[in-house]
Amino acid sequence: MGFPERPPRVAFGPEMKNKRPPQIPETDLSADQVNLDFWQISGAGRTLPMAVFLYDGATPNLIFQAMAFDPNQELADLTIVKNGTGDYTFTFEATYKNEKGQDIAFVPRMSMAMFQGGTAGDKATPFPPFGQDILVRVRNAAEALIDGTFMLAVW
Amino acid sequence: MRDERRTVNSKTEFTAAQANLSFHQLGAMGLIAPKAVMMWFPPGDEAADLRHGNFAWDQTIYNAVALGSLPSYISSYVVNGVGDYTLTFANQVLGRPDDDGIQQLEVLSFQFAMGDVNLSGGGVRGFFNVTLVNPQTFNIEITRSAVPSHQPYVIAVF
Repeated sequence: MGFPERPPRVAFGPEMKNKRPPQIPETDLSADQVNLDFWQISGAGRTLPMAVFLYDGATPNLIFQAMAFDPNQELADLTIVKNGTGDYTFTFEATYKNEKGQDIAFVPRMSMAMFQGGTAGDKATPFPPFGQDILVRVRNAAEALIDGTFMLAVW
Repeated sequence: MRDERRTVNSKTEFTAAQANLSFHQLGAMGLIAPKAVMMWFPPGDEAADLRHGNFAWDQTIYNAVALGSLPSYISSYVVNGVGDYTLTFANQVLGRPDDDGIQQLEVLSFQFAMGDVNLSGGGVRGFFNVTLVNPQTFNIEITRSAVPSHQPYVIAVF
């Protein structure tokens, strides 16, 4: 039930109880600690981006990729097509494997793009996801398409 | 944490090192993760709604929720004018269940927000500006080529 799914608190099981009172806090994991961990994991798992990319549109080159369902960073680079100057399509697979090796459907739902450096007025804009695709366009202050480096966070 | 005894079988015994790493990572994630991430669609060809909503304290993930059916902890979402919206949260939400499984009300407050405009047309720039009016209220202004404009946007609140 892990990434690419976002498991709710109930997926982690019931509220834990101590079998016996913890004797030594350094060695005895308490129910309160475990319950807090489960709550925080499920909550943060809901709001953290599923994937983050740093992409250089000029070269073009994917500089950095991190995907929550790939904690050992074993997957190949995402399919990114440069359609033209300042115009790029990020395409996710239809499924990704969870922690048990099961194929789980994934569809990107929303994203944010942030231009890195450049000149004041340069902007990277992602379009609302369409199927497995996220289209990103990069423009300068004069609204002309330009190549540049940007970060894309996807939920 | 520290191990009470030496680990014999790493596949069945949870170690202090695993616990400490998990706590460290969780603590960090809890600091940097947004409390909520939302995509809002404005009035226009499609009905205005909360198109997507993920909230750290809520086990439900929301899709295409009409403004009249928002989760109770969103006190209001007001369209003040073209590209001008006010998002107000309740000042309390149901928090983590206690030992008896009962959720208590806990204070909800935010420090800042970030976001971006989703544009569906070419040749224009959209700007997103967000102001924290009070710990529960954000005012969002959207412009497209310097003109107020209804545009979908994504906002993360911390």
